[in-house]
Amino acid sequence: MSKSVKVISVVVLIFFILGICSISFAEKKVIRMDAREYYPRERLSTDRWNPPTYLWRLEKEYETLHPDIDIQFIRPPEGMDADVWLTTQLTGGTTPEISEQLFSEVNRNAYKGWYVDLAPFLEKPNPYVKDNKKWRDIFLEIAIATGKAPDGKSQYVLPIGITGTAIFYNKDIFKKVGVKVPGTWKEFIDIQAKIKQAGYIPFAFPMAGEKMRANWSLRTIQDMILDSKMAEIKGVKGTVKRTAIEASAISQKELVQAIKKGVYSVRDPQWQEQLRLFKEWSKYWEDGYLGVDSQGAYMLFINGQTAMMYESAAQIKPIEVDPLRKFQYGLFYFPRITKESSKYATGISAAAVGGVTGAGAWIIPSTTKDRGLLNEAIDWLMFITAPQNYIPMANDLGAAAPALKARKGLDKRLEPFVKSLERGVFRVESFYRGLTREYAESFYQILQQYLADKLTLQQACDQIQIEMEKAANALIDARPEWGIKK
Amino acid sequence: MKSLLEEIVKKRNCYLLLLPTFVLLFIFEYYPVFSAIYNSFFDWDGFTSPRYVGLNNFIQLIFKDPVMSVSAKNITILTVFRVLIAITIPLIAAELVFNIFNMKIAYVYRALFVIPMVVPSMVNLLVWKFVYNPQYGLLNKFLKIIGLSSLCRAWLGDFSTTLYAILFLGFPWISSLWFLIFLAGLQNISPDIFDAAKIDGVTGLNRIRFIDIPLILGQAKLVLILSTINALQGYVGIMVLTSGGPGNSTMVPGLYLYNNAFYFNKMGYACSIGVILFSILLLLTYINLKYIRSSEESQ
Repeated sequence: MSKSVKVISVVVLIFFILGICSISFAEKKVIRMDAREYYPRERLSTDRWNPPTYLWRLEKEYETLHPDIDIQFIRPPEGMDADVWLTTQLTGGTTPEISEQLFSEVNRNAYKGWYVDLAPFLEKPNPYVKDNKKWRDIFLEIAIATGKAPDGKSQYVLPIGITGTAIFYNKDIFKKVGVKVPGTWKEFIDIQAKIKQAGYIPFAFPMAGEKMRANWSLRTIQDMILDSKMAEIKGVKGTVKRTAIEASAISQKELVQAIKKGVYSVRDPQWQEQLRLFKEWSKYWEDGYLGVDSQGAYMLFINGQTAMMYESAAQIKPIEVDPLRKFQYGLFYFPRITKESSKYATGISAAAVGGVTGAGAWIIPSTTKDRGLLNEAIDWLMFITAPQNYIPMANDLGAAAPALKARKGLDKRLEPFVKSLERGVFRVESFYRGLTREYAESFYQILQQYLADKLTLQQACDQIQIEMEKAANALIDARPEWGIKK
Repeated sequence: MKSLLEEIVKKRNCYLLLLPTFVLLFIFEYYPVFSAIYNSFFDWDGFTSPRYVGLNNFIQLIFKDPVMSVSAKNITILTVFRVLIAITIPLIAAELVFNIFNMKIAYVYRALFVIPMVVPSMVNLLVWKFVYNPQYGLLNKFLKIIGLSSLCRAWLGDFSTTLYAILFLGFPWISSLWFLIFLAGLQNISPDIFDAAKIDGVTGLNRIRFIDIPLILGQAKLVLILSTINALQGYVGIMVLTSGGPGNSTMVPGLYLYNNAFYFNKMGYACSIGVILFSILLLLTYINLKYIRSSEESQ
């Protein structure tokens, strides 16, 4: 045997041994979880409150029960839009075994076959819940209903984080200025004028970066302004009642039909009223609000510079414990618009913004099944959603109440947000999730131009109408089964 | 042909060693380009079956898309400014350092200009975001201190200032890389030439004009090409600072491409933006290579 043949044989042997070793090392099945808000991490010196850590505890307990499983937590890269990141992962087939996505986005993508249908698994018992016959029985009905796919049967997402929104106010400023919590839009505008006169910034409103605050506000205003038109938009007689599921009272199909019939039209003065009221309110926001993001608005409020801000349950924990806060704070719901402020108002209370749209909308991508890890991923999900595990985990995060029937041990600070849903959420929405993402982006850009006086109300509405019709046509193309003509 | 083949066979080991590089180059550099060109003729969301639409994406993009028009205008302004900056300010800095006679001091300055290179660009951008913050920002605070409160504004939230704020990003615009390229070019000039120039009375600014610049034209050309490519393709700074807003006032083609691909799931349309950018860059690089010649090339 020549020397080179010997060398090659030794190298091959080494690789063979290494290969065997790697097989034995790889015996553990790895379940990667994009834990998003629940992502556990150590507290950094720059943190002003404790980050969530409870998943580490659950991970340890689970791995003790299942030594063959290795649970790993990941999250989207810092600074990147989480949904854009997830879309790239889903497109490339590299999504972690469990991830998180809002129900509306899941439903938007459902036809692409990206997700595992969780419905059959929800009929099976959860072994981590005593005497449980069906996993679905541990959840509030709203969670199951919200996660239902447009076909009415499949369940591609398990949304179990109840959230809501409220206006946070600085009690000290209110006391100094001598104003009370407003109940109507008129009172709301009036107190802001007084606060401004007293030298404070009335409202911290972020209009840069993510678009949530503008969307929350417009959805709520629109629901009140178009109240008298809801039945016409839906194409029914009588009234359209609010439900606890965002924009579900009027489906996307019904919205598109209404756009095509001209019933839901931006050219309608009643529709335009919401933009007028929104701009009227913007006089009381901080200077340069078009360049202020949500973090900037939060800092203005927490430092006592502004009297109010519009936030979700996710900010309860930060505000509670933030050492920068030197004032008492309170919450009130979005005010009711009455005839005093708009001729289109019917006096209906403001709809809630929220639902099962908070932290923890779990999905299992179909690639998990392809990798042979579906049962393991389901089992881990069953383990964490067991009330004895999920409630302390949600309390540790302090951002969303779990949509579980069991309530024992739930953080009381989240209750006002859960209660806000009793009013029902907005019935129709076109700005953010209702139509296409492209439309949402265009709408926001036009809105910014309108607020900055670059466009008149009429010009802005003309442009929005064009974009809205484009979006409606794009949806008709994507959903031939609707049978709506362009 | 036969001799070439014989030559390749003879030196097959060398070619085999080069093979992995070329394979990787093809997979990660060339294939995406061809794939983008191909996909630009389709309506494709990145997942479902693509639908052939011919030149529709290009027609829509060039003639019917108002966002693209704004983006094109913005990127033209940004590119012209950034390229001018790239070939002037780092050159001035390189000349200053090159003309320091004390080697130790020259070394310190060179290091000071290069150190920013190791700072992650994201950190840089977040610092600038803080500088422009309307409430707490350094810029507004500074204006207030010097009694120019009337000039304070939301630099990134005001339609009339946002693009200028983006232009001002990175002030004093001494890119470490361009600086090093120019400095290397200057250090490469033979001392004999400087001696001869001195004897002929060519000193100071005249030396820079008649000796230095013509002899570092090769480096300038490289900086010109690379800075043009960087400026035309760049969007990260805008994405972090303004996301293209307010309105579309700072939208650029790179960001618009990104939004279309990953936010709107319009992969085919995004590819067509990429193809147009690629074609413009190719054309500009060709013009640069053909019409701007360094002294060595002229000879």
